[in-house]
Amino acid sequence: MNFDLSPEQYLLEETVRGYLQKDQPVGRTLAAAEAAGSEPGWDGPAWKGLAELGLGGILVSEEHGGLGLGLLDAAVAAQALGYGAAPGPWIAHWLATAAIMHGGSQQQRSRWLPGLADGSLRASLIWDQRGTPVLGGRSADVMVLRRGDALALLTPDGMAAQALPGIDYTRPIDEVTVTGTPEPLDGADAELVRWVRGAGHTLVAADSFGGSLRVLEATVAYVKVRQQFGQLIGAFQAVKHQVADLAFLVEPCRGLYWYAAYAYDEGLPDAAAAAALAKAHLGDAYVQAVRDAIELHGGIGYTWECDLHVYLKRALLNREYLGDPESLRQELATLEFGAPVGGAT
Amino acid sequence: MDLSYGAQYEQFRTEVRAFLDENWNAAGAKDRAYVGDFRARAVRAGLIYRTVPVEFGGAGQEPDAMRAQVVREEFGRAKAPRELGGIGIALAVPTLLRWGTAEQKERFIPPTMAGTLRWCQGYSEPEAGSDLESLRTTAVLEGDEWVINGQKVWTSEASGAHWMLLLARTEPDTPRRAGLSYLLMDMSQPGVEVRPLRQITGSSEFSEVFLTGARTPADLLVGERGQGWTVSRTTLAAERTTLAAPETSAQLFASLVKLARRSERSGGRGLSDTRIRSELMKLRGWIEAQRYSALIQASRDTGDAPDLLQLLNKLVHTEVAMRVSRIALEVLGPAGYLDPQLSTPPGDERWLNQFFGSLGVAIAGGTSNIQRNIIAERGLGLPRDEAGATA
Repeated sequence: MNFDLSPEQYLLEETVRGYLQKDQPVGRTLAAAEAAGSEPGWDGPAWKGLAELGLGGILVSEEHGGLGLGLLDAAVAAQALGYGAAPGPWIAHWLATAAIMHGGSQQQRSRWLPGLADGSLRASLIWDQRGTPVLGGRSADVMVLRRGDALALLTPDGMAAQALPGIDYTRPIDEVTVTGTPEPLDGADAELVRWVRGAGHTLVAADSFGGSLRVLEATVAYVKVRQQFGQLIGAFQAVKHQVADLAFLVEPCRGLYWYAAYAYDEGLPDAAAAAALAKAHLGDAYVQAVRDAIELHGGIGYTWECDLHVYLKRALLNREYLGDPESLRQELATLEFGAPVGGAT
Repeated sequence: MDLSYGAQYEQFRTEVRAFLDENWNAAGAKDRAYVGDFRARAVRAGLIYRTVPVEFGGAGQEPDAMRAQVVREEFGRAKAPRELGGIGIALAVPTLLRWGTAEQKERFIPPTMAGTLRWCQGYSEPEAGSDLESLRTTAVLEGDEWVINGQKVWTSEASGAHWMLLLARTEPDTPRRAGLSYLLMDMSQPGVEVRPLRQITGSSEFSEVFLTGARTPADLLVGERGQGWTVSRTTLAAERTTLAAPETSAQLFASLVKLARRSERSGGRGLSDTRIRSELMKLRGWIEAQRYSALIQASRDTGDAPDLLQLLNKLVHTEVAMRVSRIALEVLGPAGYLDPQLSTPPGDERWLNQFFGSLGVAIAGGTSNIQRNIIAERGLGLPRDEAGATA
C-alpha cells in the first residue's frame, strides 16, 4: 500500500510549476489578459510552452500522439497549473480530447487527436449545465458538446461565440450559440458523459488545491518578512493562529483529489462520488483560503499589484464550473441517502 | 499510488481470519476468563501487543503498520478484543520499554500487560496546564527515597490506579524543562490523596491528586535526572495508529445518519432536511480528508520529527468532532434537553455525551490553540514566541 505520488508524478508537477514560474508568472498573465481586452488568443505563448511539455495530449493515447497517461497524472498537472494560475482552458481541452478519444470514430480520432495532442489545435467543452460557461470558446478549433447523455463535435463554423465579462483573467469565458449541425460522437454514451463530468470534478479540485497551496505558501513567506511594531508579524500569536488555520484548511485536502483520480484510473465504484466530494470541498476551501490569505497580507493584499486577487477570481470560477459545492452535496446526499422523503424540507 | 494491500498482506489477512474463526466466539465477549484466554492466544499468534518483546508478554514482532492495520480491520469485523485500553498500555509500557532499567521493565511491564497493574498520568498541575514546563511539584532525594510534594490535576484514571507516571521538579536550580525528572510512584500510601473531579458530563474520569510527603524509591527514576521532559514525550513510535482516528470518524458518521433517520421517523428534523443533508456532506468531506491524510502519513516515513500533515491531525480530529456534535444537536430535537446521566435507559440523548466530549477533544492533550502555535512554528517555520509552548 502506498498513497503517494510516484517520482515521475512529482517530476511532472515540478516541471510544469518551473515552466510557469520562469516563463509565465502571474503578473505577466494578468498584464497580457488586460492588454488584450476581450480579444482571444493572448494566451498563445503560454499554450505553446505548456504544449511543448506534452500537456496537450496528456490523456491522449500514444497511438494518437499523446502521452497516454492517466487521470492522476493529469490531476497532478492541473494542480501545478492551479498553483501557477496558468492561462488557458486546459481542463476543458483535456476533457474534450478524452471525450473524442473514448467516444469518437476512428476517423474523428485521426482527424482531431494528433493536433490536440501536440497543442497545434485547441478543444473546449460546451456543457449544458447552469454555471458552466465555455472556457476559451473563441480560441477553440473544436468543441465537444453535451446534450443530455450524448456528445457531439462542433467546429467554429457551426457556432457563434460571444465573450462574457469573466471575473477570472486567466481563463476567458464565452457564451456559445450552436448555429450549425453538430457531428455526433457515436461511441459516446451516458457512462462516458458521467466520466467526463467526474474527471472534470477531479481536475478542477486539483486546480483548486494547487491554488490554495500557492496562497498558503505566499502568506507564510509574507509574514516572515513583513515587520510591524518592531518585529516580524509572523511572531504575533494572532497571526500565527490564522496562518495555522489556513494550513489546516488546505493541507489535509490533497488526498481528496488524489483519491478521486486514482479511483477513476483503477475503475473503482466510488470514483464519481469521490470526485464530486473533492470538487465541493475544495471549491469552498479555495475561496476561503484566498480570502484568509488576502486578509493576512493586509492592505497590500487588497491591491491589484498583489497577485492574490488573480487566485481569488480563479477560485470563484472553479467553484461554479461543472457544479457548485451545494448542488454537488445535495447530489451526493441523494446518492447516499436516497431522495428526501415527502418534501419534508 | 497503490491502495491495494498486496498479496503478502492478503495472505496475512487470511491467516488472521482463520485464527479468529478458530479462537473467537463473540458469545463469550462478557466472559472475562474467555476473553483473557483469547488475548493470550492472540499474543502467541503475533497479532496483538505486536511490538512488545516476548519476555514482557508481547508478541515480539517487527513494527509493520500494514499488519497492524489488517489486525485492526479483521478484529473489528469479528468484534474481537484487541489490546487493553488505558494509560498503562498506551503510555507506561512504551515509556518503560524505551527508557526503563532492566529491573523496572521486569517489575512493571508484565503485570501492566496482564491488566492487573493500572496507571495514571501525573503531568498537569493547577498552574501548569498548557505551560507544562513550569510545573511545581517537587521531588527531593532524601537518603534512598524521593520525597514528593505538590498537586496534580486532570489526572485521568487516578481512581483505581495503582501507580503514577509522575513528572516532578528534581533540579530546583535548573529552569523549566531541564529541571524535570520522570518517576514511578505507588498510589497506595498516606501522602497521596485522590479527589475525583466531576466533569461537565456529570461523571468523573479524572481527578486532582494531592501529594504531601509522598515517597518513592530512588531507583524508580526513569531516564536520567533532568531528562524527565524527554521521557514524557515518548509515544508509540512503532505502528502509530494514525488510521484509527478516521475509522472512528466513519463509524460516528454512520451512527449520525441512523440518528437522523430515527429523528425523521419520530417527526423531527432528519435526513430529508436539505440543510442536514448538506451539513452531513460537508462533514463527509472532512472525514475523507482525514482518512486520506492518514493514508499519506502511513505511506511516508518522516522519522521522529512530525511533518505538517501530522501536526494538523488534532485540528482535523477536532473539526470532525465539532461538526458531528453540531449536526447531532440539530436532529436530536426534544432529546437535546434530556440528561443522559439521569434518564433510564438513556435514549438518543446519549449524543449529548458526544456533544460535550467534542470539547474535550479540543482541550485534552494540549489545547487547539497551543497546537496552532506548534503548527505555525514547527510546521511552517514562523518565528518562535518566547511564551509559546513549542516543545
